[in-house]
Amino acid sequence: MFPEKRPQDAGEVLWRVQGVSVPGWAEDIGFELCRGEILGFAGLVGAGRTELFEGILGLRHRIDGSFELDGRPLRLRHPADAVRAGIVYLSEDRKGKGLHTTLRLAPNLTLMALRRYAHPLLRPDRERHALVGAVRDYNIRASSLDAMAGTLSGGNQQKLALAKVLHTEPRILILDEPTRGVDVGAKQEIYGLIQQLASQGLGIIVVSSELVELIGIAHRLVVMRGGRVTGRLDGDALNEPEIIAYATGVKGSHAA
Amino acid sequence: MGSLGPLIGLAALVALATILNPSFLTVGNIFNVLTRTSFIGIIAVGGTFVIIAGGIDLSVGSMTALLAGSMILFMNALAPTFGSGWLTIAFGVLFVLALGALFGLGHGLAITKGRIEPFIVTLGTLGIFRSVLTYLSEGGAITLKLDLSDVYSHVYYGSLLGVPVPIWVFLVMAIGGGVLLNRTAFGRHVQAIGSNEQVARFAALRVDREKILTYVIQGVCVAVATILYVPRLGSASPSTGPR
Repeated sequence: MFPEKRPQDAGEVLWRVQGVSVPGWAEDIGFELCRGEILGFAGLVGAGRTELFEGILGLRHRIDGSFELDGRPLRLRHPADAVRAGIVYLSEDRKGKGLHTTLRLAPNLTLMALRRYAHPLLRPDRERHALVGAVRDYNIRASSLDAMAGTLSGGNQQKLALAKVLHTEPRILILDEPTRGVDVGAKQEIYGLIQQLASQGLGIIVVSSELVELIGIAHRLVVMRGGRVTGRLDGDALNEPEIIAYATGVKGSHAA
Repeated sequence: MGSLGPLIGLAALVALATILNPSFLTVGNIFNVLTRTSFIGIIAVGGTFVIIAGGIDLSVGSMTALLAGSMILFMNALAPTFGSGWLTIAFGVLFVLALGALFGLGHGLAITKGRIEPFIVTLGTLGIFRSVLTYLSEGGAITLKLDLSDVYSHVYYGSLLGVPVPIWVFLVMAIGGGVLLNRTAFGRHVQAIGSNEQVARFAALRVDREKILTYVIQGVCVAVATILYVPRLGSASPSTGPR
């Protein structure tokens, strides 16, 4: 199911996040993400992981929080700031926040990178060309290239959503429950893709409630509980009992 | 097939009208009908953006009336200084375009930053615009000075290559609107916002800014319609406006 983990060449911090608080959801959260690293965020549903990242991206009210990208300070006030800096977020709510289900495939794919197709008039032929490429690269199965995004199966919708955020050519990819409602075949493809992107040097964050998935792909794990980080695990500590202990508060009630 | 519905309806109406009176389908009558509907057509071009983005602007009718009244007062005031010619009219045109954009900006800000439903905002301004005009006109009508009116009337009654000016303006606005909506990043953003605003937000679109812009476009379209409306009658009263 999971591709063999490649060791991540430690060092070189890509993204440093410090002191982020999202009222009611997350308090004083910090972490570092390295180039080529897959960092997992574990926790029970309601631990504040989704809200934390929505807050970081500027999709939700946030107080405090400072960011560095490649050691340089970074301002994140609006999601567009993040995209410009090369940070993209794919929501767990595919139909409500991820894809325009009533629009066709090509407008979905190019939406976040439209600037590239506007000179200043849009070039539908180039968008179409990009769609053909994405369908091939991400193995998206659609009845027709002119289909509405909502007609795709869950797995293919997720691959299209991934293609959409990756179309901006990001350096940091934040995936929230990337395999929810996705069939086994597509799951395997998504894991392979995540691994491949990491080996190309992207920093990847995976928020997931599936422990097996996190243990299977992540190099390191941050465990959250009640809006706080209760544990940071790597190496041999990446096992189910350990994660559950931190996620439920048996261990690390106040780890920094 | 579904998008052909309105066109089929129109064809049926034209056929029916021609059966009732054969002179309906003459060039003169078609131009007459088109000239009169070009106001509404131009306003509808702006309305397309607002509605596709998921909003509504109920105030366009009374906005037309207030813009017409304001434009006339403005030009009447300028006439003694700049003369009763095209210069004064040019200033009037710029003034009314700016005022229309400003009204649209006000709508957009109240809706996005003030977080008030567009229905409520524009229902409110519908009343406000007409009330202000009633105040400005002291309950009567505001009339353009006769010598200015003589010059300006060419804009409505004149024609270019045999086609009345308002129809040309409508044509240009409609084509421009179509290109803006279907072939630019802004137009695509508008469609994405209307299709699902939340998804658009998560796709890092500047949703508020684009929504405000749709109301500004609506305001400018109302101003363009007003520019064609004023020379027709040369006056505005609280009952002015497309209806």
